[in-house]
Amino acid sequence: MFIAGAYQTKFGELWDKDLNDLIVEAGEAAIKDSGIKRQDIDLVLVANMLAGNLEGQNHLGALAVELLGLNGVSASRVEAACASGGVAVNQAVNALKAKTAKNVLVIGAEKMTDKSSAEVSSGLMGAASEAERQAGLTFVGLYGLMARVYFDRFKMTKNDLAYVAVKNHKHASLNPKAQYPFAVDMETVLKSSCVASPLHLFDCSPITDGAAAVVVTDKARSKRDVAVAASGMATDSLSLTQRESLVELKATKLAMKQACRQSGLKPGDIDLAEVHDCFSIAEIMAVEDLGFCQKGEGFKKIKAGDFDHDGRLPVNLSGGLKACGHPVGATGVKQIVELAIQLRGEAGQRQVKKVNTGLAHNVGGSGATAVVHILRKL
Amino acid sequence: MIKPKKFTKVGIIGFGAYVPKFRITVEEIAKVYDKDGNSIAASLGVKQKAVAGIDEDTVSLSVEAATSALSRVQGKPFKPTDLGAVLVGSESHPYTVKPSGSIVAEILGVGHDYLTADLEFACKAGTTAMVIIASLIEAGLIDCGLAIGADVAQSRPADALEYTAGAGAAAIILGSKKYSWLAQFNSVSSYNSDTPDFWRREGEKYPAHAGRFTGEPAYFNHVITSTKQYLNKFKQKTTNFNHIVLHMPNGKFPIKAASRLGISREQLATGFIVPEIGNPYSASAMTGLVKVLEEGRAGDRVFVTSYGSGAGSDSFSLTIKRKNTFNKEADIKNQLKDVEQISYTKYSQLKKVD
Amino acid sequence: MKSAIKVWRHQSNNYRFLGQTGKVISKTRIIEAPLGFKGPYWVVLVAIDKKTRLVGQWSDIGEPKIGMKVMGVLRRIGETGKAEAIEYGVKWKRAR
Repeated sequence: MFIAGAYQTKFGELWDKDLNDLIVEAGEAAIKDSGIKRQDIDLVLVANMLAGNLEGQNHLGALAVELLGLNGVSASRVEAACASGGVAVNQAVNALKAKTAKNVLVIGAEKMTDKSSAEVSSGLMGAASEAERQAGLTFVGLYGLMARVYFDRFKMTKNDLAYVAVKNHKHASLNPKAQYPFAVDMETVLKSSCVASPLHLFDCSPITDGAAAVVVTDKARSKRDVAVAASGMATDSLSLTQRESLVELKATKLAMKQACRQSGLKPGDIDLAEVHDCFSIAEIMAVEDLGFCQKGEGFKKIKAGDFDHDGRLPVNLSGGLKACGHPVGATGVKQIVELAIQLRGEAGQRQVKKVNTGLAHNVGGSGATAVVHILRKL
Repeated sequence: MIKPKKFTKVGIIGFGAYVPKFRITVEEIAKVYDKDGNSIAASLGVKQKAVAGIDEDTVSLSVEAATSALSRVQGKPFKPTDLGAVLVGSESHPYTVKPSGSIVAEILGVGHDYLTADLEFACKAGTTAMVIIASLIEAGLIDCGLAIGADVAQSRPADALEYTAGAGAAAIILGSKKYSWLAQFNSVSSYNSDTPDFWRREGEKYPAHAGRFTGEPAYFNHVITSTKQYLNKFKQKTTNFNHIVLHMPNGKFPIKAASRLGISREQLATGFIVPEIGNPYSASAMTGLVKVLEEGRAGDRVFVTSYGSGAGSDSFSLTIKRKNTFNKEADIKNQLKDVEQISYTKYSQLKKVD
Repeated sequence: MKSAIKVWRHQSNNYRFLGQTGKVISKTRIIEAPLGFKGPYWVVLVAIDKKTRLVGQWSDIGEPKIGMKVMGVLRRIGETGKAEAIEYGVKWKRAR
């Protein structure tokens, strides 16, 4: 299985773009980039979480087919909260493995800025349980509950946590598609207002519009194609209260295990990663759960520069969810796009010199769904 | 007319009260209107009032009080399904149509085989609930019942009542000889009239009142006449009682009424809770009564006259049989220890009605 | 708008932990509240026993502390529109 086409729109507050515009821009560009003929696309998967909720638009598979002139093709929406994109890519891989499709167009798109942040925040809580909604929690609050335990157990400090945002913004300053393509300093991060303790504004990914698309295909046709070495997916309980541990995401560990088994690779073999930093604490737990360092060491390694652009394993060179932005359904697909660009050697200023394998880690909810993809240079 | 009946089959088997934890002082309110808080507090005989949290209402307060009351029922294992009636008296029922009684009963696990309907008679609906339940028990229709007086009072900003209109709930469980009595319910009388001293029309957020008319023709007439009527009917004197509780709209009226009735400060003292919590309307006399039941001694004779604007008073007497030893943390005197003073800004944010 | 029917159907579930005690395992102060709630308020993660954990809003004076013994009390859930049915549920206060 190969990634043949890859494209992401600019992420940000795109006032003059509709969800339709985003779907069209990403879809058209990915098809063009793949070199595959439009009529050879035989499956369309649209990853999106909130369109039904925020603008009453469901049936996105059919919508995409109409907008892109792909009438007749098998199509549907894929939803797994913030893991929608990763899960859509996983389903594309499954279709190819089952030989029910040869060229799958996966589009992740989300339009979030037409409504108030309170409405969006409530919509996002659709990724949580009824009891969590009834308790008046928000996603920031859910990760805040995990962060509180992490802080106490591993003696992390506020400063430690702030490094994540500083790193990801530094990376984003080299990414023209990022929502916030500029660096920020520690003081800015530390002084930002509290959203749900202990998480502050700069610990949180923003509300973003954007889309990303890839064409996943069964044959390598060009040197720019990138191999899909693994597509692992796992779940854990929807409710935070049912998890075994509050300082790790078991779903991530399980998905990573699958990905390693499928690819024959180990965490140490990964050259580059896009991980799910919906909140800074999420990145810290992610680098631990993916096996890039020990549990409780994540923040120390981030601080030490292990995961910087010039570190042993660059993490979130796109800027991550924090600085590149997090249009929910698009993120998982964007991560694949970013890896593909890097593996093709087309990442310009943020190109990593030696890169053969890349890993994308996408999470849904407070850790209920996790998807891990490993891509490899041909 | 109500007959001078001596109840023989009714006792109090559980009691409890709940006062919300926020307090706002008379001084803090007066500051907003550029008035002298100290002199207003002195003239009202009230220091502060209890304020309900944003997520508290008459139903939630009732459940808190009833839960305390249930925890104190002694003797054989008591199930909430034993209750044959649940009556909530309030002037701030959360619904105008849909009884608080059935919501409270559902939450407490009373089941479905019981009698309920909501009561309203300004501040005296709770004591009327007690009388009705005592009568149902005496008649043998039910073995036990729960009477609640609860309110989250709303007062118009800048109105004189804003200083005292508070929040609270009191629950009394009455039961037949089947249960262990903490007190015996003796006898009751009631005195009512159509007197427009204080009222609230349908759809109106705040009540209206007739100023100084709420004094002599309203509170004093009914409290004093009802008390005298009771004492007459049952050939009693105020000196027969160890504890007396009168409705407490502020710290002055009950003292004045007491002195005119020949009731001493000592007799009023135990139940005299208004300086600390203000006026929780339907829970006023009942919280005073609960405090007396919590702190009184076996053999103590208790007399209560409630008052509800509109207007009327219920008068009844009890004899304490046994002191309660369960769940002392829930005693009113312990609840009063742990409070948070709030500003007028916060108080405005907590008001249910805007 | 909350469905009165759904609220009714969830009644026994909503009142399940009334009067029960537990320990605070984690807490967060929600500053930016979602629709239907007015912040700020604390939310606590409570362990009732080894197997049972739940989340709920804090409803008491003072702050929750990790390890604090707490008790479930009845309160209104969220904001209720003028014409809506009221939802009651369990929130948490310090067990005294």
